[in-house]
Parts: sequence; structure tokens; C-alpha cells
Amino acid sequence: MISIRQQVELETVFFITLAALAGFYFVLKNNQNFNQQFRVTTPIIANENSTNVVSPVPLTPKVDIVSQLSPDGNKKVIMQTTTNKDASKTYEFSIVDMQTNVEKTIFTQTVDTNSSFSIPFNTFSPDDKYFFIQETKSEEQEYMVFETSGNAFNNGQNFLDVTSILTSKITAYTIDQVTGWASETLLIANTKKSDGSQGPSYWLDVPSKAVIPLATEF
Amino acid sequence: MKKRKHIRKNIPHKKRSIIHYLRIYTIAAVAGVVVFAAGTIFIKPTPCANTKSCTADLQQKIENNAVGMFQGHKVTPPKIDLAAISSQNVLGATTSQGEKHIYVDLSSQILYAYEGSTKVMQTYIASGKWGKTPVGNFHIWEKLVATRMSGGEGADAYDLPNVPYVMYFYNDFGLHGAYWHDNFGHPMSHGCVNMRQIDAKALFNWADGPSGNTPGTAVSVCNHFTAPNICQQDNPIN
Repeated sequence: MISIRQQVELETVFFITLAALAGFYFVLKNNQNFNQQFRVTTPIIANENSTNVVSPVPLTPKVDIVSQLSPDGNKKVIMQTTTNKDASKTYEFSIVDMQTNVEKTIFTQTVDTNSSFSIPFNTFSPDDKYFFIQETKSEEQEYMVFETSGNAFNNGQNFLDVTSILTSKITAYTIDQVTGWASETLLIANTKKSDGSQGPSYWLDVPSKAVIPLATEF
Repeated sequence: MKKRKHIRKNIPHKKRSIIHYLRIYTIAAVAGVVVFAAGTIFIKPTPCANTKSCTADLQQKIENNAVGMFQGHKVTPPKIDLAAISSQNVLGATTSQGEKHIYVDLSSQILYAYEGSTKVMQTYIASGKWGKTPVGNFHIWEKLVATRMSGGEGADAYDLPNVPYVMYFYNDFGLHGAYWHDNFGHPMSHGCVNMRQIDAKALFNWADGPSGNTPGTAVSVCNHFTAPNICQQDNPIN
């Protein structure tokens, strides 16, 4: 009797253990296939009545940074462009001294979508004392000169409006492009005639604001 | 013995007229003009970017305290520190292999440097305005850390000490840094190829001068450059 009873108990324990292991196996298997359980998905069907999804305004505004080294590598101008919520853009120009790594903000301006600023390749004067930037307003180019030190000019402003100075003294031609520096103080301005052909070139002497007509075209 | 008689003819001294002298002067003048005209046609002058230093002064010269002159304006040359000049290649040093070749595109005023088919540099330059940059295929024949360049006349006269990173490729026409202007992308030189100092330094450290029988890095000056070995040259000098 005792042996039969022991045999029954052993069989019971064996089957219960086997069932527990099988259950545990299926639990594990089931958990592995968790991601495959939802076979039925609801397709998103575009229809004419759908409404446009408005993208949320990013929490951090988009910032672009471009820079230009001076020809001798001693200074760098950085233009940081921040796109605002109303699509206007804020431009910040700063000068970095490459020896000391000290950065100084020179000029900040916010413009609407019709305007943009850029740094020309020849932005620095040969002695790194000045730099000029270009503003494009509805395909018209305007130019401004700054001192890299950030000091103001004798008119009290911290920049010279090159376009205004040139257009006030050059009436027969329109300003086409300011290309670069002929010397430490002379900006080169090219003009065009009313028929679109190339006009004479001029120098603008930055300290004196004198406009000098040239015999040769640059 | 017969005595030989010396007969002395008395030639009458002919009096020369003014017309005679005028005729001689005219013939001499015509001959001079003909020789000059023939010389200018058949004997081509050697082009020279620096008329004062072309034949005499193509050697390294460091003048850290000198003052330069360009377009009638004084300019301050950069200080050249020979000890700080790096001989390390900086362009394509780790990635590129192949023959080095520099292309100068006069139409776009852009310089390209290639190692094989790999472009290692592209930048704006300023080529000849007051004197033409020679079109053709050359090799760098001399590299100088700095030298003095002078030439031009009148308002275009220039005298520039410490011109940095000079690589002569044809006579005294060279690639070099320019500290007296910043108008790259537009012709602005007397025939040389002007570069920003930082670009000239990088190219100088990368390009090779002649060594033994091996010529220096090839330099092709093109009217239009499309790709390596596609370099349009109108009336090349060689």
C-alpha cells in the first residue's frame, strides 16, 4: 500500500512540475511574440476632408553659423542666423581673434523674409582693420563696412553705409558689386551702365569716405 | 734698270652738298626703323612679372622691418619667421595619392590642386591685370619662403618686401601669397598668381620644388578648366 501511494504521489508531483514548466515555457514564448500580437491595424486613409497637420513650433529656433577667415588667418568673422517664429531672421556678426580666441559681437539686425545677409570672400581689409558684409534686398545688393575692433566711425555709427556713400557720389551709373579691397583702406566698387554693360570702377577710401574714379575696370 | 715712275693722281676733292648728307641720314634712319621693326616681330621679349627683379633678384629675402608700396600706398608686410615655417604637408596628407598638379583657371579665377584625381584644394586667386599671366604647362622651378618683388611704372609701380610662399613656375611668374590687397576672384596682379596668405602657405607646404632630375609640381594655367587634364589653353606660351 505504501509503495503504491508513494508511486501515485511521485506521478502527481511529476505531472504538476511538467505542467508548471510547460506553462512557464508558453509564458516566455508569449512574451517574445508580444509585438506580433496586434495583427490588425487601422489604416490612415487620406481623403479630401482631411485637414492639414500643423507642425508644432520647435522649442529651440533654427540657428545657422557661417564664418570667413581673414587672408592672414589672424581673424575670423562669424555670422549667426537665427530663424524666428514669424519667419524673420536675426543676424549676428562677431569677430574672433584667432590668437586669443576672444569673440566680440559687432552687429545684430533682424530682417524680414525679403532680406538676407552674407559674408563676401574678400570681407577683410588686408590689415584686418575693417570688414564688410553684403545685404541682399529683393535682388539689390547693399554693403556695410565695420571696424573689426567694434569701434564706431566718426559719424557715431558702428558701420559705414557703403551703398549710400557711393550712390550719393556716383549718379551716372548704378553700383553693381563691391568686390574687395585694393589696399588697407580702399574698397573696390564696380558699376554698370543703364544698358547693363560694365561701367567704370571706383575706390571708396573708408577713413575719408572719398570716392575715387578709376581708369581701369576691375 | 728702268726707274718706276710713281704717278700720283690728283683726285680733286669733291665738295659734298647738303643733299648728300640728307640722303645718308635718311638711309640710316630707314635702316634703323627696319631693324627695329624686324626685331620687334622676330625677337620676342622674355615676359617678366617683376621688371626690376626679373633677372637679378630671384632669391629668398626676409625683410621683416621693411615697408612696401602698392598702388601709391604704403603697406606693412607680414613678419616671416623661418623657424615657424612648417614643412609638413597639410593638403591630402593622409588620404590622397598620385601625381600632384596645380590648375589655374583664368576665367573663373580659381586655383585647383589635385593629387591624382583627388582634389585637395580649391580657392580664389588673383591673376594678371597689369600684365598677363602666361598660359601653358609648367613645373615649379623654385620655392622661396619669402622674397622681394618690384616693378611697374608710375601709379602702378610696386615694391613689396616679404612676399610670402613664392613658387616660381615660369621665369619670375609665380604663385604666392599677397598681403597688400584682398580682391581674390578678380585679376589684380602684374602677371603672378596671387593667393590669400593662408592658402599660399597650405599650397607651399603641399607642393614640391625640383629635386635632382625630378621636376617640381606641375602647374597648368588654363583659360578654362573643366577637370584634370581638361584644360583649355588659347595661345599657350609652350
